[in-house]
Amino acid sequence: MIVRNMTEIKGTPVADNHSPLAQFEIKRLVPIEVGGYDISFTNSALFMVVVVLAITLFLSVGMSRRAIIPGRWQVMVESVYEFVAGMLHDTAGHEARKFFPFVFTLFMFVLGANLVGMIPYSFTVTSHIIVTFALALTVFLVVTLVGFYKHGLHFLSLFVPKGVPVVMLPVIVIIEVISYLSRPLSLSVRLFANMLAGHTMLKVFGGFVAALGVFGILPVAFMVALTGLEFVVAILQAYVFAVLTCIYLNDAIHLH
Amino acid sequence: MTNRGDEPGTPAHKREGFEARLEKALSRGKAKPSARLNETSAFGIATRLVAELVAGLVVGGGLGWFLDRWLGTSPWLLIVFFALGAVAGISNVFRAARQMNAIRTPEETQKSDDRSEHDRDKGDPRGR
Repeated sequence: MIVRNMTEIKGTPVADNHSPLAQFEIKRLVPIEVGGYDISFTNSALFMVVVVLAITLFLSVGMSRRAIIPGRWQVMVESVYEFVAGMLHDTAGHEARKFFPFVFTLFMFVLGANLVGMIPYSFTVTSHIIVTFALALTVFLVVTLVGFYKHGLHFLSLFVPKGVPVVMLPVIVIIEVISYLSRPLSLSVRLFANMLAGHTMLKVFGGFVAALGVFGILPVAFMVALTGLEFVVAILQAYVFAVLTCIYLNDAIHLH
Repeated sequence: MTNRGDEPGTPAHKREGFEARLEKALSRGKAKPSARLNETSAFGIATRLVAELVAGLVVGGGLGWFLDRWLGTSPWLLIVFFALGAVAGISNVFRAARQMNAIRTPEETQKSDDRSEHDRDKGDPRGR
């Protein structure tokens, strides 16, 4: 991940250690600079590596025995596979099966990043909009390329809804183009905002515990429930990200 | 050799015969995709709709700002595209809401009967 304005972040500390936002701070672990760009290995990059390793471990250890009667771990791996395959099939149809590796990778990465972020003292990769935006932009580019590859210039008819009077057409087309271009933004903002809000909320309530003394037990009880909710959000947002990718793929493949 | 289907204790799906199962699997493959998005929590629905609205506004405004800088027509295109972005955002919201509502249409409740049957049989993880 390229972090260009690292000096700005370092020069003006956004948050001290007790701030609810301190958990989102990017720290340089191995400073690297190439051609004026700061491409340091940061804590964000470290946790991306951790997520990828965890997913690889989960999948390869789970499938190492390849038993006909699966064990617990193999059942988990197989049901994740079945889940994504079914979702892709239900939303984007039979032809979309080629994109299974793409959707599965996206789903597993977002899910892994969200869940690793739930471990105390870890870093939530998906709480940074640049990460989610890069993911969403990848989806956007893939979908657009697939659309043009499959339909050629006919893909542009996506921007021309049926039954619109000719007078209104220029305005409608511009609106449709803006709406299409806003997809990567809404996709990334949704994931980022959910992760950021949830983790900040947990930290804020954590601050109440110390401040309230004996009555701190109340926020603790609330935080237990909130942590459960955060796990639901972590899984749900990964699902939403993947299912919207499927919906966009469906648009590109079937064109209305 | 022996007819396996008659043996006691054979699972139901084996008794059905290979041809029938193949038929079923193939027809499942050709089923028409339904673009539906199951969002269960109210918070999830809210963030989804807000993200759609804001994304339209930001992209519209950004596009206008960029074109203004490029063509030197400040601030007219910014104003026009901001308005168009608002329209795009609102239409996005309506589209997203329609997608989410599609789960609860009569067509769905009609189907829910055989679907729940199907889910129970297969232990479908997506069954809701």
